[in-house]
Amino acid sequence: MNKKNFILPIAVLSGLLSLVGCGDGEVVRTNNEIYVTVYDGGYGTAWIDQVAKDYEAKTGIRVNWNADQSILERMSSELDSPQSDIYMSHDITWQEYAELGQLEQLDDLYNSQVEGTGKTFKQRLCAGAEEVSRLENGHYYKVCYTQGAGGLVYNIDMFRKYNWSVPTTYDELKTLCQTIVDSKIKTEDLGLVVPIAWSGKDREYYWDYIVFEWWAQLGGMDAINKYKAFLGDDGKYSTGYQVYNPATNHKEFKQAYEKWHELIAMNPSFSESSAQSQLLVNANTLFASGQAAMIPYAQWAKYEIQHNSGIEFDFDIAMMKTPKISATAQDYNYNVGFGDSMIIPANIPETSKKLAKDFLRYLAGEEACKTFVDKARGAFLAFDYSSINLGNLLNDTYIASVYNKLTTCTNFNLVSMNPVAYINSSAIMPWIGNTYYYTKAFADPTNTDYQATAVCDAIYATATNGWSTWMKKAHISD
Amino acid sequence: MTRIVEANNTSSKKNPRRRRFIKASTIFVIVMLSYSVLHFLVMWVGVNFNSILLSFKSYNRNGTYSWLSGPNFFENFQLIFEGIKLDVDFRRSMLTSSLAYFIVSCFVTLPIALIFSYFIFKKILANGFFKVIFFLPSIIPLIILTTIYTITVGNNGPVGQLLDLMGIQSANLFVTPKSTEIMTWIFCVWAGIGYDVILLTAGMSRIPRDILESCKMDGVPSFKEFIRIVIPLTWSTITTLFVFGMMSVFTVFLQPFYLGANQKEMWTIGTHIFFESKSNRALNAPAALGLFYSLIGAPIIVGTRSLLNKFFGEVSY
Amino acid sequence: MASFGYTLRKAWRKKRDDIRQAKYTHEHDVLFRRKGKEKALFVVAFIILMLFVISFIFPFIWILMNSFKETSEFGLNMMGWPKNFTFDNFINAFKFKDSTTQNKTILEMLAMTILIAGVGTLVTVFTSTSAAYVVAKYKFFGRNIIFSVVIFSLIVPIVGSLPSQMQMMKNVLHLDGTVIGCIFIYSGGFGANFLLLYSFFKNLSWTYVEAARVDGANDFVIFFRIIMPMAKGPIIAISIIQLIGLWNDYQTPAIYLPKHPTLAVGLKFLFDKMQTLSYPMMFATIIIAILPILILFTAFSKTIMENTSVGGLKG
Repeated sequence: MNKKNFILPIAVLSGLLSLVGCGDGEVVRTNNEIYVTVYDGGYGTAWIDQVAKDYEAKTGIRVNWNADQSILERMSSELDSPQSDIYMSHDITWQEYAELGQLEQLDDLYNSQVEGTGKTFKQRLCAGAEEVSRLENGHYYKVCYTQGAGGLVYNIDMFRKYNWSVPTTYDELKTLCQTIVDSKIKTEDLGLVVPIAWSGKDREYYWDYIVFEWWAQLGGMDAINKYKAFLGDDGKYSTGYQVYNPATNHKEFKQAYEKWHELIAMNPSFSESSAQSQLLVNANTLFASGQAAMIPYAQWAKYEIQHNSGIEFDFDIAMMKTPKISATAQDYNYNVGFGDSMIIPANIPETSKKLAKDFLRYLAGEEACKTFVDKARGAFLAFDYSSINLGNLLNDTYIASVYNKLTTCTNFNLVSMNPVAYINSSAIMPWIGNTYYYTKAFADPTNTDYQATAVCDAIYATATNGWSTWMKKAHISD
Repeated sequence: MTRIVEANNTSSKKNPRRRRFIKASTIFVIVMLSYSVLHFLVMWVGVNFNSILLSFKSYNRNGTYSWLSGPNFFENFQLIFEGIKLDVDFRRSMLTSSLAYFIVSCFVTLPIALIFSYFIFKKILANGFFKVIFFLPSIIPLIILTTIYTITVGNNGPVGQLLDLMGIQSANLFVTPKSTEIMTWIFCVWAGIGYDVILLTAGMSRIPRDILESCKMDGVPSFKEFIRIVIPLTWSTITTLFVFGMMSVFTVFLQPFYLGANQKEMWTIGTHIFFESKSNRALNAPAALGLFYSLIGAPIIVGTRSLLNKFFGEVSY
Repeated sequence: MASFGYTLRKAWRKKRDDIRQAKYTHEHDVLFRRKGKEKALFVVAFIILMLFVISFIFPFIWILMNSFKETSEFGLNMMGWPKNFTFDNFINAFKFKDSTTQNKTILEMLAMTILIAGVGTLVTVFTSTSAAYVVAKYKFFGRNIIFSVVIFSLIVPIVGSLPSQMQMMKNVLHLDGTVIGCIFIYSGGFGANFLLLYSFFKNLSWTYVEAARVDGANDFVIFFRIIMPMAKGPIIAISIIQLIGLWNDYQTPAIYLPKHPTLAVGLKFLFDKMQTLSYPMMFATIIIAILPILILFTAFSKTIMENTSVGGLKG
């Protein structure tokens, strides 16, 4: 290669080098603005945009927000040199960061008054939120983000048109699915309406929202609380794996999955064809275009389905109370995403911390709480809504159905404050090791490996075998 | 201290200019080598040394490491053994899932590649074209290959539709771990043959023409020529590829991830180390895992290499 | 750019001549005349090879064809020719970015790749050349030690030094998250390239150097003015092989530059997202991503192929 040929690429490269830059510059913060990063997911960004505008109009403080889908992967490096003053996302392992000293302690925020409500911030939280925001040392390091609701979302207009009533029991649900299949209703492009659309490829865990409620219906809060404690029958950390024992503590979980298997895996016609390899967007499109009557979802259904499919609903939707698995069962609501967090990094200037806290306090107020429900289209912040007048928002069938579920069912969540569980949060969960079976079971329903007995035995074995390692990681010895 | 090898032969030892020469050359040698030596010291010696240190540390919840001592000294390694003994998925990853790639690379891909290479080497029609195509998988990013593969073979893809007609449900291919794993092996063969063929044809091209000509004269059949002439004469390349194949037990890490998404059952040692390092703050456990497998893998691989080299060691041309 | 275009054209012309020549040789070479059983065997082998090659080409052709379809058409007409040709997918693919891709378009990823792979290649080829030259041609204290240690490091497989490397990059070198850090990792002079260049320099005739030395040239002048031009062939070959290797490297940029994805890293983000939006747009992205490398490969295929026997391709 002659000289000229060498010089050209070098010149281009050095040009690029200066263009792209190396590393990231620090955010230069001023005294009248804050930076907020929200996880770019099912709540959309319209709510933060509106809240930011309202807040700026009220206080003169500018809120620079950005929505990011990859924030979780970078969280720990972000906290080393924060680009934002508040992070809002699911799956933030906040206890770990708090112990590392990377999070701002929020006790003063919790004890301060929220303007216009006559209550302290702590009092403004929805039930159950306080306990899961406090570390063992008694201090607060996070604010719960949303209080969730999960279940089957259905197409009201379609139900009305064909005179289907909303199922209240498991058996009714099964019958309804069969009715829909038998009706052979043709859609515009001549496909048949299927009872349920779901994505086996990237959202099989949406089934959890129904299965967990069945679990609670069967076992009551006792089963749930026993599970969440992750303590053995002798009350010790070291035998915590016993909560997964399918013969005793996890019996109802097993039954719930068994029921799911019987309903969905054994009846392929209840789902769209090849649900096991469908992307979420495909399932969304089926539902939004009226080719599926129901879809398992959580509170962000209305926003996400329309956003993903690009189809605006021309029909009303609602989330049903999960059909009861037995005659004696009570109504439960699984607070999906209750562990989601809003955190303030420790490594930002004091003035920014103060502003960030003030912004969180603003979120606890009536105006922001309402805006969130409106703009996130049916999701609720983890604050108490009983004193908030939602007014005509409740004219929206979907918002009303979620609100109804939140207020008339027994709410439960699966957030554990046991250090063994939260230090190993990527492994210790109902589906231990983050291994799900819905998709596999649907693809291969007769395979006993994916049926309740084998699945729950495997879960128990994994828990038993892994427990000592997880204890060591959490530095807990007994 | 510094001498120029060849220059030394010509210049007289008593040349008065030599002293100045030495100094300048010493500087030259230092300048030319210092960066690489330093880099090597940091990134190879330093990193591997640090790996050993990390393997004997424990990670504290406040983000620091402390030395393991007393009965816990081997804790990180004990955890690996415990994991292998108790955790089914981990055991699968550490043993069968990873070892499968050795079988696939050495006993499926390599033999097929050998046969393909022989025909290309023997200038089968369009051999130049074949060679170019065999290059493609080596120059195209893996993510593109895996994406193309899943889309074509998977649900609704052109090959997938064909499979459906044949009664193989394409929608299930990447769903259950068993079939995903088989699909990954097929992928590795499909995408891996090219690389082997490139090196093998290059190795074969060094076989002297007169040997082949005398084969032709004597009417030696293709099969015999392949076994008796071509294999022994490309043995060093085959050995290299065999060793590469053995190393795939440790180096394959992205294929199971790209093709199996979250199916941890089919992760390999490499996948484990990569994702544990990427997502964990505690680097002691993956470091110990790496060290553990280096200690097992290195002697086996080096041993196999020297053993294989002895096989046809006397052949030279 | 003109000179690059010229190089490409020249390479292309040369390639055509080579193909013609190879065809002529093949037809007139006694070694490759076959009959009877042998001929049948070769026909069968040809068919098998052809099938294999088709399995490689077909998906790309299918993807190329579908990249010109509208998203709505793709679902209904997967196998047919596009009814309405559209370039929108390519335009959208160039423009697409969102938070999953770290707000980087494919062009920005391309720029990052060119930067890291390009500079990385230049640096490592330079350090390898200088190290190989000095170790091959100069006798100095420690030469044998260096050589043996390097050989040892290349032969003995180290399985997982990544965790330790990450810790050092972060806590000792503080190069985590920087472009320089990535290039630093690539920049070593004692990789496989070293061996190739070492054997080249070992066999290099020394007469020119002697002549230059008589003329009073110092070591640096000799290296840059005489040795480098003489080693042009292997250096170019190694550069291209190295460039392709770094171009496709996933591990280093994925770990150290998560915020500035290169193509190998960012394509995963793009594909994951685009699958949910539009397959044709994803196909267009695939085409865009492989085009530069295909052009480079076509232009230099002979050089690359001639030099792959020694080094590994995978970087």
